[in-house]
Amino acid sequence: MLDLNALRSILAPHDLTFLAGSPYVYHCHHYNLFHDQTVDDILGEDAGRVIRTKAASAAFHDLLAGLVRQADVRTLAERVQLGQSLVASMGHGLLNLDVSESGGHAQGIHLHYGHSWVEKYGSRVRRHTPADAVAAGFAAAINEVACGLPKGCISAKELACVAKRDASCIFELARTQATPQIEINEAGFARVLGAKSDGGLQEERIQQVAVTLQQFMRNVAGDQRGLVDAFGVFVTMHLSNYYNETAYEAIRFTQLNNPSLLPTAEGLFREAGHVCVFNTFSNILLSPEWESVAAPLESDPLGIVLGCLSIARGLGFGRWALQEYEPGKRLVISSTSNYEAPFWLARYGRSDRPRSYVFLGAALAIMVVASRMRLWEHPILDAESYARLFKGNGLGFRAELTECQTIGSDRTVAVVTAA
Amino acid sequence: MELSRDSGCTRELVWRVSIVEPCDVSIIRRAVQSVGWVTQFEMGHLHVFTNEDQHRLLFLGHTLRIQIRLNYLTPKRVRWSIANVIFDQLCTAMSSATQCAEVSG
Repeated sequence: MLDLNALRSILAPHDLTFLAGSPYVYHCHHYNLFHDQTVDDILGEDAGRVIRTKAASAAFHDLLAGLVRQADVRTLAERVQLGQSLVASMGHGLLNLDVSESGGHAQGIHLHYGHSWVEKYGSRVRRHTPADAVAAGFAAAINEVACGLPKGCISAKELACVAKRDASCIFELARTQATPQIEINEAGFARVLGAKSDGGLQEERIQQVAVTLQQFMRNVAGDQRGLVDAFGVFVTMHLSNYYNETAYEAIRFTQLNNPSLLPTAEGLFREAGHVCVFNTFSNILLSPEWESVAAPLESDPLGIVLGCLSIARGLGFGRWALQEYEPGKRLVISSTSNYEAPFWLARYGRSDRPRSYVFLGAALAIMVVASRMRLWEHPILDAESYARLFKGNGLGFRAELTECQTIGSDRTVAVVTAA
Repeated sequence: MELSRDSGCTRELVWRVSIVEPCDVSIIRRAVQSVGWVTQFEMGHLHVFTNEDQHRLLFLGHTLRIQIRLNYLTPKRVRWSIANVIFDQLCTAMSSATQCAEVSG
């Protein structure tokens, strides 16, 4: 497996992480499946799959092209091998490609999305569409970079998928008209964020655990099947340009074509933040790994809040800081950096409205989890407990972004109050 | 020793082993090695062992927490029974390892 550690960098003091210059974060399979489903719910399955595939391809093309340049990898076979190793090391499964300048085909084994969809839903839901647009995009990007082709000139289609109960995942790759797309990388993030960062309450405690978690994550990589089973979930090292491109294009599409549905679309991406905290953050807090990195959970809601902020930093979400906390009543979280706002600013310029959806949803979910989940009693995290906490009238809190870097503020601030 | 489902969100892949007897990493290591498990990873207080079926056992030296984490390819219908087989194996091995420690101590 490829050793990724030499390729990693952290944009200090923002706790944003990069792989050969491409921004990355860690998300678990619950979040990944929810994010993709949300894009499809907004755009429709076919259009959603197309935009997800293109976004994954563009993000991975930037990463792989940078690596190929750095390592001076010249032959087609070596470049394909590098791309396949990269996919597996990041926890996305195994891809085997047979490609030329005119395209080719790929087979996927234990792909993160398809495999985890079967694990989560397979016994209850019959799926009729493929689940691996991300792997499809990665395969297209490997084809492009291996053959020295421009970004976006290979299209990918998943013909068979384990999530549809096919035996394996099969992809067809073909030449298409390339559409120009700018690269958003570490230099772009640094340009829009500057050098200033903001701390908050309990800063030392949060950062100490965050740094330990960042170090721990350096040991987290795909196993021989290219999957990462850590903290009790399937984890991916994922390119945040993928999440941002797909979410923001879905939002912009809605704003342009059906503005009355914009609040609904924004609400769905805020809910992605709930899913992230409920599943990824909570599973980390409950895991043996967390007891090693930090300490066993105590019956203390503040400890849960601080733990979540350390996790956000440790997973590359940015420097999330605590400004106020009154248990069950009020929580204020700020960030001079999150992984959403810099992308928006670099891609679209200043916005007319706040756009840090995952940050806002996560802030609200941190309040819910700290106030109501009693994680220190080691609950089972399942769909029923998620629904009880986050659906219908059960939420009990409201949240808003009072400041956001996408509208020109120096920082992004989420204020959560009892409803 | 007792076996129960551990907290988390994957269906019956993680199991908690509660122990009442005093224990340390040397006893755990001796126990799992005696039944063919090997050290996969160690960092700080966390010791991770794995066996030929790629199930894992996570042990925390400072809290004595033990988690059995089944190979994620284990079919759902047999997870409970496999966790119990591993637990029984661990109980026997721990008993022997503890006795050895008492004799040598």
